[in-house]
Amino acid sequence: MRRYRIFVVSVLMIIFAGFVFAQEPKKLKRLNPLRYEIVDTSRLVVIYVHRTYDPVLDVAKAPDEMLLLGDKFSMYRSYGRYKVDSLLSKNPYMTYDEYKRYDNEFGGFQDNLVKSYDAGTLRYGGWIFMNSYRYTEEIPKIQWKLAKGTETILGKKCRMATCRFRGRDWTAWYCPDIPISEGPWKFGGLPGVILKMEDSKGEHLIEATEIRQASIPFGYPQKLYVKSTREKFLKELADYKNDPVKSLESVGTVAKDKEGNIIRPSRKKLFYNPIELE
Amino acid sequence: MKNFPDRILVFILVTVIAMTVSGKTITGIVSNEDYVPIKGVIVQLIEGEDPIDFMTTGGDGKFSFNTDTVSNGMILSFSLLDYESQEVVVSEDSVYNVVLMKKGTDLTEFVVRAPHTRVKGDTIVYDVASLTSKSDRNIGDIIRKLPGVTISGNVIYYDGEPINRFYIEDMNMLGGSYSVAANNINPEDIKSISVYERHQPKKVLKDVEFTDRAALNLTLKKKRMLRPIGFVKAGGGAGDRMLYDADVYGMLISPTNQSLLAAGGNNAGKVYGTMNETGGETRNYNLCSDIVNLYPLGSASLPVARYYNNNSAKVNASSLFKINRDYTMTSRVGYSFDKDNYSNATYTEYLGTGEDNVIYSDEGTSWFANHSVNACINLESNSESFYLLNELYFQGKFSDNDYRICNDRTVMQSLSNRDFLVEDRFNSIIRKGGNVFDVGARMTFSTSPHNRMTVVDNTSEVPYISQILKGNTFFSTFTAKYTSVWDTFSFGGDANADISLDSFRSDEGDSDMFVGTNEEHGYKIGVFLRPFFSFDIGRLKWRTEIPVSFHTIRYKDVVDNRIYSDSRPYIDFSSNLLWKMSVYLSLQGGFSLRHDYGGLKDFIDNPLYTSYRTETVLGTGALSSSGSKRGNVMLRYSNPLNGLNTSLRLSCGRTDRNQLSSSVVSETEETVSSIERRNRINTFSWAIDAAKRMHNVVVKVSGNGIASQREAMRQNRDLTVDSRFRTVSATLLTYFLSDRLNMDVTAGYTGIEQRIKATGTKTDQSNVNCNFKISGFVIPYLELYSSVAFERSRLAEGGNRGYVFLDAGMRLKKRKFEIELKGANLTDERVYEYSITRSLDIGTYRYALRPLEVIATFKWMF
Repeated sequence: MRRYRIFVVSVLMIIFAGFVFAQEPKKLKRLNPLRYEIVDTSRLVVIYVHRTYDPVLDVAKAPDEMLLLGDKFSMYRSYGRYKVDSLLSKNPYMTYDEYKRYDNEFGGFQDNLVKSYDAGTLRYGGWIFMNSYRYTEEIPKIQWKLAKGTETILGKKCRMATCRFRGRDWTAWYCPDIPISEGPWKFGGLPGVILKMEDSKGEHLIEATEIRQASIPFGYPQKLYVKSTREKFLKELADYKNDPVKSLESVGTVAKDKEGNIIRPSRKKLFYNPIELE
Repeated sequence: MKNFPDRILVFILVTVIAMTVSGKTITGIVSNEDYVPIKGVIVQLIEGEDPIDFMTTGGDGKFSFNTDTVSNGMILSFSLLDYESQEVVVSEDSVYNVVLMKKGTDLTEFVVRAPHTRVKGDTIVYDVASLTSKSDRNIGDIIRKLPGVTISGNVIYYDGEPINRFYIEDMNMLGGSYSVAANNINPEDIKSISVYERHQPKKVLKDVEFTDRAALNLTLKKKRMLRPIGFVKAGGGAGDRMLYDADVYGMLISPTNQSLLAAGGNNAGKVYGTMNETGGETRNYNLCSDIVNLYPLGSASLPVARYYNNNSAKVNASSLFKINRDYTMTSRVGYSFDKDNYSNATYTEYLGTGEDNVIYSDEGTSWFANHSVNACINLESNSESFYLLNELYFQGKFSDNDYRICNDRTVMQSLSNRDFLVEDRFNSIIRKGGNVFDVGARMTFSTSPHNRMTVVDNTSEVPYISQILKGNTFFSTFTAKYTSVWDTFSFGGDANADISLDSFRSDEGDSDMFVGTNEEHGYKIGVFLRPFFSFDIGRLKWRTEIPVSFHTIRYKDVVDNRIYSDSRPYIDFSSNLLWKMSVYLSLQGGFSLRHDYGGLKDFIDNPLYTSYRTETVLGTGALSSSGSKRGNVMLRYSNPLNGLNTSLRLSCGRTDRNQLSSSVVSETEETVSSIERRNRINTFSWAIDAAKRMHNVVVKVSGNGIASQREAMRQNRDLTVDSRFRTVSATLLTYFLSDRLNMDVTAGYTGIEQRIKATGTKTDQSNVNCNFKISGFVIPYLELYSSVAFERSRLAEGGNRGYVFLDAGMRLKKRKFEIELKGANLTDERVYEYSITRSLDIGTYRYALRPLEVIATFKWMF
């Protein structure tokens, strides 16, 4: 019932937004940048390119993602989304067309995760269709196996380690010269920052392209969330991505043409291949 | 089973003994200078250089290793940001309390930026700033660093195939004339270069017709939009004569309009004649335009800048207007003028002529005066549902060339050619749902109203050869095509009619040598039906086409009052497969069966002159035809994020022809003709490319080879010729010391082997070249550079000849200004000699080179 209400509200919002922009496409409208509850300031930022391959659609995408490393917290988020938020905060009166252009150019996935070292927890913020979800879990204790291989990434000598994490076998290259036990996504716990990760199927490749010193305040996004658990969120996300039409129809949302006939898009599956399979 | 408890006991005993002998447990607390425990310290247990275990300290600063692998001599390493790292050797102790001293961490030591690459489907986006080094002059220097890209002449290749579009801001202003932009655009104006792999330029055909050719797109920096960008350059110098070099380049790019202007002139060795239209469409020229050999004295394997004494000028202007979201109008105009001369000597050994090969030698000087003009205007609409193109193209070439040849007498050959071509091309495609309708037409008129050759010698004032060629071709083709697209399957076909009206005339004029007159005219019609089907099942794309054609010709020989007519049908076949085996690996292969059908040339059966000593009979009086079978396969591994691109291409084919090339040579002249006889050519070719980009090193290795077997006739003797051609090249680009030192090394080897079975003649030519370029910035704005080119050629008469060319210069670049002083041929090599196997001959050429020259230029960028 709760999901039903959320989807009805979402559909109404879309219709309203469409109406507003259809009527006044050029009108300047203040767009509010996403607010954050600041918990820490980064000292070091690592930019990664994350290549994901969807073998069903045979499509690969490679957005930029960023790891903000503070003293007590770290945050992992879309680098493109960070750029859009920065532009929006500098120019809140940008037109919707401008916003769309920036969003198309830079915008990536909207998920984010914040690790609290003191609490030992990780808060994940995700997005399904028009709704934000949030779940909290303990920072995963990954059973790493140190291996003998080395690779030079960004000119820095990295050592190899392997692990199995939630359904995938990973190979990581960490940099002992940067003694921060962090990495992309939920990964971490190695004796050095992780600069590259690759799963055994070649479906995910996360590689650092830039390390920079930057003081960027970061924290938890302030928006309305549906509280969830990791398992529930992953299931709902999988249902939606694998069959969005069915997922929407199950809560009573259907697309219709002028004659009132239900439109069922031929392409059912959306781009999706999660890091966590379990 | 009764021994099972005993085995457990033995196992436990062995384990306990092993633990007692080698294992130990070590613990400790890590604290700061005030003995306050520190949380999060990374503690590693290291054996030799390899960490074998690690952990991080908890809130109480404690760590503990309870493994049986701990042994004396290992190292405990403690590290944490903002603290001095410490290492302790493991001894007999089991407790290690460590104090870490605070330090100020300079985080800038960690800051580093890699060449930035993004991949989205078939698009790879390269960040130009991260690929640009200080010594790069133009965007072409960046493009050649990209994995999979090679630049040869003015053509850019990706995976061995010429690119099909060169966009600026996703708009096609330049067509095939993209070298103007690639050679002039400043990398600092460009934000990124995108490679669109397997790019279908017509959006309406996306997912309908797949292509293996790629496109490049330049994205400008935002602040470079809506304002003129470019440069003005001028300079002068000295060598054997005074030198000048001037260039102007300007470009204005906005979302709705693009304009480009390039002009220049020099006598420093840069020849513009070939820069007007490269990588463009194939056009139908009349027969006259390529009969006469423009280089009867040969051309060198060196860049023309080494041996052409030139005076050149050019101007190119292009503009594009975006009328609305889908419609664009583009115009391009280009003019170039080259007045060149060079001197050389040739020594030609004609093989397969008998026990003693015929040898011919002479010396000569060539003077070229070429004007070339082309203009193009087109209207294009390119959307997902509709495509429209109408393009009008004009080309004019005017050349007046003179050649002075000295052997036992002095001969003067003069060529005066005028060639014009006008073409209109139309294409419209409509896509409605799963149906695609495509209609097209192309009409070309090519004329050579004045194509004259005159040869005189020092024994007479009357030309002993005076020949006038005239030719016209009106070619038109009409196409209608239908495609039905289903979910994973599409089928359709196209109907196509080609009509060609041709005329040709050759007159001997006033000369001592009478070779006869040719005058032919007539038509050739080909009607084609090409049904096809294709599958697109995600990773697998397969397309098969079965063209059926019917050809008819009718030509009249006015001189002999004969009529030639012929009609015949053909069935061809082609099938291509693309299998994307994984995200990085793809396999592409194809097989084709194709027939080619001759034309007017086959009925020109009186001789004419193609050079001062070569008499040629173009046809046999019978229609030529050939059928070829060809198979090819390409395996490609590409991981752009790792900067790795490799490909292997194999191809083999067989061509059956009904005409055989025949020649008779003597010490004074050469007669080339064809005879009617079935013969076959077998070919096998291979090509391999590998490129790897690392942090500050780009390595490219490529090689290709062709092996062929063909038949020929010389001195009325049948010959079977086996040829093997191979070339291998490697390129290494490096950027060291924060871009202060750059090195560029290219090495190449070319080998040609030829064996003629009937005479037992075997030739083996090879050429090795190595180019080494180094540049460094001794102070931030001053670049010193030097390039050494080494050439080594095996000569026909035996022995090798090596050359070293040294060029060097300095460039002072500050903000928008640049001053450059450049010296060319500092080793002052004055003669270059090399040998090459061509057809059945070995030619040895000796060229007079430009001397040591120094030129200074000033450049202002805006």
